Amino acid sequence: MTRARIALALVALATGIALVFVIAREGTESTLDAALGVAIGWSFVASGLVGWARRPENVIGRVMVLAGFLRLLGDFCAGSDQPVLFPIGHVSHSGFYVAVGYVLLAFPSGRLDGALSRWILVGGGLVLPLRLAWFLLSGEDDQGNVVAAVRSSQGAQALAWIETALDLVILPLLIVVLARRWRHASPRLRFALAPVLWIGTAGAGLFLLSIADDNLGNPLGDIPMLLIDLVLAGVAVGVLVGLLRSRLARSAVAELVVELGQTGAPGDLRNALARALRDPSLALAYWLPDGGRYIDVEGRPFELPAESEARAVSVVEREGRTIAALVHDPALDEEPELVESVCAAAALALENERLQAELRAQLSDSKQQKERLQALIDSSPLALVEYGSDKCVRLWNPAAERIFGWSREEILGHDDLPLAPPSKRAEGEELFARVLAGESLNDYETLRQRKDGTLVDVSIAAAPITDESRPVLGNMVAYTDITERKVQEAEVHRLNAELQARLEELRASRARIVGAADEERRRIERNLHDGTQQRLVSISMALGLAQAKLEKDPAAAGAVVGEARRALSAALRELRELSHGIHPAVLTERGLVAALQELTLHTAVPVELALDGTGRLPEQVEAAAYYVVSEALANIAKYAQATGARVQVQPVDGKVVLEVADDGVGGADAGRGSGLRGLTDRVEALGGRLWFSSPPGQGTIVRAEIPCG
Amino acid sequence: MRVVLADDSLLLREGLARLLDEAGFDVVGQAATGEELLEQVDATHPDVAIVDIRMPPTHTDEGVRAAHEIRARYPSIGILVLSQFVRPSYALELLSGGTEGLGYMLKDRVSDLDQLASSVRRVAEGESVLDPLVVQQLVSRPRSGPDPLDELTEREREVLELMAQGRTNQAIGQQLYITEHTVEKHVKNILGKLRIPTSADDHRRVLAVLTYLNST
Repeated sequence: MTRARIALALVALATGIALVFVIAREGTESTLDAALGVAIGWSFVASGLVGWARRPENVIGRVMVLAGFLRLLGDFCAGSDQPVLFPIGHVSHSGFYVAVGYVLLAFPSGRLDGALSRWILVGGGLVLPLRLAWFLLSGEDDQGNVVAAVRSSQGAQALAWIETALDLVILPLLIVVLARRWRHASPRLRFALAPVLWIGTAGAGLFLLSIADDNLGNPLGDIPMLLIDLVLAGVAVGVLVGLLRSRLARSAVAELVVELGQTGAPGDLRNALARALRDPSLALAYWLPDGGRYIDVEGRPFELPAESEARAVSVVEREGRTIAALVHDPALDEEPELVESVCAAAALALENERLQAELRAQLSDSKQQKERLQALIDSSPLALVEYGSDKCVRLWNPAAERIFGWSREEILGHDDLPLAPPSKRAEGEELFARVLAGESLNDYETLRQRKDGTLVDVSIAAAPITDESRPVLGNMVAYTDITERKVQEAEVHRLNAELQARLEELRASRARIVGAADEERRRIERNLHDGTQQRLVSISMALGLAQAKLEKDPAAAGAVVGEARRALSAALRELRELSHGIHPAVLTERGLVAALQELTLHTAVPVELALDGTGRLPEQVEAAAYYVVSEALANIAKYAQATGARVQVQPVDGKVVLEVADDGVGGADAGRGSGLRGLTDRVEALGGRLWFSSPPGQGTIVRAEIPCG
Repeated sequence: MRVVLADDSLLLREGLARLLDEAGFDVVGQAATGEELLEQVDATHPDVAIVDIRMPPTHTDEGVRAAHEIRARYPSIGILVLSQFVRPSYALELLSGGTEGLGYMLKDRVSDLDQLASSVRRVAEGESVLDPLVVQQLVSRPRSGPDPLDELTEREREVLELMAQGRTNQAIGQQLYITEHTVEKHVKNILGKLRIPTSADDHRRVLAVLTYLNST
């Protein structure tokens, strides 16, 4: 290939020299024009050959070589005196312009992007047949246009207009596209595009100027064409500059190597690479093999962007291992060898910085862990306290401040187990020693003291703090404030005890009720035995006696029978009283009010009854109420020395309230006799209560409330 | 015949004294408690002591204890214990040390002057008297397992009850209008059926029968 390019260069050289000679001999054009044309042709060929050599895969170099030859050929044909070459010259020139247009649109990649670019080239391409057709119709050349078979000045004129119109469309579009490319180009691309685009834009503008000049009768003369030629030469130069700039970038690798020796601070390497690659937007990401992810130079996670028009990613490997990734301008993809050489040069530095980044990432992880731990300690509801092996408080969290009252500043450095109250000092010392010896404690309930000396119930969990190298460094202790729980426990105990006491009372009351019933039965049995039965037996004996006497002494027998009849009456009365004592029939038949009225008929002291609103009540309630009144009245008769008593019974809120009051001497003892105790049991068995009040000298009041439910 | 009375109820004591007087007994002393009774007995040496079983201070079985005391001191004095209630256990306790001259009678029967007089005389003569109601209760009380009493004939059962009441063969014969010889045959059959060892002694026989009735 190199040989082919040398050959082409020689051909171009020869052609150019030939052209100058031809023009000089023929005198058709000024030598300046000829020299200018040759210079343009050579500059394109030369730039094209350089580009071709550097980028064999890029079509631009070849297109430029083609453009150069087309220019040389066009000028040669135009300058020759052979009329047959004229049309070739015209077409060659048109082709040259199209080729230049392609270079402008496709630089630097050699690829056309966008439909508009393609249409512009197609439009430019149309000029070639137009120019040929025009040439055939115009017969412009006085020296004899051999191909001008059909002359038609009108047709030629029309074609000229069409071509002008086409130029007027294409050239502004070209300017627009170039401007747009500039605007959308990344910094890296702008850097390469700048000379080419500016010169190209200027050329297109000058073309428009020349068209205007043509149509205005050439007031500017040859100036526009001269300028155009200068600009066109500039395009070649611009491309060459662009290429040279790449060359400069390559030389930047060498600078990079020097710079790498001086990098130190994080980010220096990136800056050096950005300069070497001329991509200020460059970003570096380092591979973290352990985490399987990329991090930035500070060790922070780095997410590689998806490949796009804006960003491209190149992975850097060293000895087969991924070490980093470059996130860069996609324009750099045009210069893979540059990227490669830069990366190769920087590989060691990258590896080095990767290791530093990895270290930073680890440090950052452990810092995060530490922060998390700190947050945990600060937010824990447990009082967390760390003691050194010398008992010195080393850690004191906010919960500890809340529970014990000491602020962190006050307590840190205390070395005498300040939380152990005097009563628990020995225990505290012992626990401390046990944990220091390696034991862990859990749910150990004890007392600790606050700053103000008050005690607080706590549950302790403690563990020794160990380290691989040394035995035990200290104790970590967590205190839970269990005051509330203790209060609740105490409450539960209290309630239990109360319940127990009530059950005990109930049991005792039941026993008393049973005992009282038994005692009552015994009393009745004795009454029957001693009273009624004896009487009946004696009556029976009297009748036996009467029977024995009946025949011998009827009068005596009659007397004995009379005696027996009286004894029988007495027995009946006793029996009636006895049965009334067991349960007054009137209570069952007529109710409490009637029973109380009857009861108070024969009392020793006058009794005032207030029974308003009292109707029939449940049987048990009536019985209890009756016996309360009856016992109270009996006590009054026995002990009170009263002149009067008052019995009040009234229903209140589903209860019956009884009150028996006297105006006696008072001072009665509630524990005296079992009567009152038995009544209390009886009333309480029904869910009621009985009060007793008997201050000396102020009479006695017995009051009972019995629910009627 | 000289009699001493003990009962804490004056009413009964007086009534009983009048009855005994009417029946021709000589009431030589009255007592309200066991203590007084013993004093009266010591002082008067009666032929028979009539004792209420229930007296002060405990109102339970003072009569039985007083009877034992009298028996210990004066084995020849007949003792008739009166009880308001049918209490076989007291009756058996009374008779446990020997049945001779001892009686247990319900107070209800006292008004029947003939029965009272005959009972007093029987204990005075050394016989034993056990109230028919007590015997009936012993005989008819429910027993666990097959009741050997069911094997007895109607007549044998009558004889058994009279035996238990302390009657002699002669008395049983008179009561049932059968010969003494027939009574002996019945007694032999009864004792055989109930597997009670035969005994010539009437008193031992009564005790054996009572013990049998009480224990099975």
